[in-house]
Amino acid sequence: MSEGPPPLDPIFRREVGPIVSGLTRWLGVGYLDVAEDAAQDACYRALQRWKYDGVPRNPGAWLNQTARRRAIDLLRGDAGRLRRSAGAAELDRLVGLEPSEGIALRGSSRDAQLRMMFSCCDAALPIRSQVAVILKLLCGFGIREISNAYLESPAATKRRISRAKAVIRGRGQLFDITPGIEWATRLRGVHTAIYLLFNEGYHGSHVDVAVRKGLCAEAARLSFSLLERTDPEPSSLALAALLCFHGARLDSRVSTDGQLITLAAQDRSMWDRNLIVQGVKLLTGTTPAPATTAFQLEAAIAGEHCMSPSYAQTPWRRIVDLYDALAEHDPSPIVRLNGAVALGELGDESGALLELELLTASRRLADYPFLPAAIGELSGRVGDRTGARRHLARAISLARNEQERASLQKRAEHWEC
Amino acid sequence: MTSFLLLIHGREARDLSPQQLGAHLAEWNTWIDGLRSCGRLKDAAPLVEGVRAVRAGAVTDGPFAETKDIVSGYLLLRAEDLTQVTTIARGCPALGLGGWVEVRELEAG
Repeated sequence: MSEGPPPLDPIFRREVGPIVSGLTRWLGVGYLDVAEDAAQDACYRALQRWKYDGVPRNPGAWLNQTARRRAIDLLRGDAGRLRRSAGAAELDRLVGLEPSEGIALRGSSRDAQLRMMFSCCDAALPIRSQVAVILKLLCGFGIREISNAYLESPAATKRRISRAKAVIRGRGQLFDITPGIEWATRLRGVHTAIYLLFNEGYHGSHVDVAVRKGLCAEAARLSFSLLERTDPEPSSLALAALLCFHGARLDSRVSTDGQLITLAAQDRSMWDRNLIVQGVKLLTGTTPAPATTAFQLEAAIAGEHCMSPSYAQTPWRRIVDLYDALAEHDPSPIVRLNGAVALGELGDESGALLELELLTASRRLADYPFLPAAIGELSGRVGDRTGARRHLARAISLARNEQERASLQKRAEHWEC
Repeated sequence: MTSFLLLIHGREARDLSPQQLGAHLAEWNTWIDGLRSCGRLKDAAPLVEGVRAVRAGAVTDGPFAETKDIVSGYLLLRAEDLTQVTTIARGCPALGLGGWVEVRELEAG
């Protein structure tokens, strides 16, 4: 009965971020660990109650209240240590806190969650640490699960998280999300972290599909939390749209036996229509202003793929134009690689090959299997089967996991005879 | 139809992450809902952690056995026979986290 991966129920993942953030704002950023422990404990107690009777209608309110009580218990229990470290006035403040204070402020705990998310995306932290601490504080992931997704040792993840928390504490308070220059700068960091979190699930090296889907779901959830404000930025709308379009194709990307399936071969009837419609709505919300951010362009490209009834009917001309515009914003080799592949699909194989050859000089793509794979594919199409085999063999040697290896092997077989 | 009492022994580790706790909760909800929808479930409830042992001449607080042996909840079920109820018990999510299920048949009344 309990075979297969556990169901991807986001119940505590969804609730724990606002609770940890709300508690941290209430107690002060120095008590981040107390907030985390209290939230974890509330989830533990909720499990005991709800496993027999099911989840109540408003689980968030119960969890929030329980976590607040627990936080105060923890502080009172720790009064001796507090007296030494925090001083008498601080102790009076903390012990005098009432658990009922602010319980009704659900909306404001969403705000607290945004503040926490912005605090996590501190430029003093490497981007991977930003994402890791977001997973820890806002998504209810444990050290082991993060280290598992990152393919690093639990000890390394633990160090990464504790350094990140020290930086957050060191700021003295949660990030101020009043729009301004500081907000706009930090928002870019937040977008990047969410995007990276999604990519970790979408293209990541972890082989467990359940783990990867969980990461994608969390990224989507966080990107939607940016839209709960009035007048969300076009870039936030576009990021959410992009994740909708990519998310819509998630189930069709991997076969039942775990093989990666290319866009051309995906079963489009498996694509999630609701997500695609949602993505289109979000993206049109960013216009009529012409697409001005990289996310808008990237979302537009993903949207064209999602709306195309078949691979053969893909509007390659439009996609090539979008890639050209995107390359002006973001001339990264990976954008140019994808643009070149689209150019090849449009029929300009030699132009595409020329661009790809230029990219082989890029250090960032030196170990990227899909560059030689694309060169191999196009070489084959212009009649150079030997070249196709050689480049695809190189791609296979660079594969980062079994899934990629198997998928590339299949593409290589096409040019074998 | 015979009535059976399922005693769930053991409790989840306290330090599981919220995400693991949520996944475990979802398994429980699926399992119990399944039993309820096919009409087998008569009653089910969790038990509070503390234990008190009352004996002639002495009342003591538990735990008086190993943690994994303490009953954390029960289910009252209807099933055809012991074989069927054993199959049901095998699906209990507590087994995945080191817990175990005691299956007892109620004396027919």
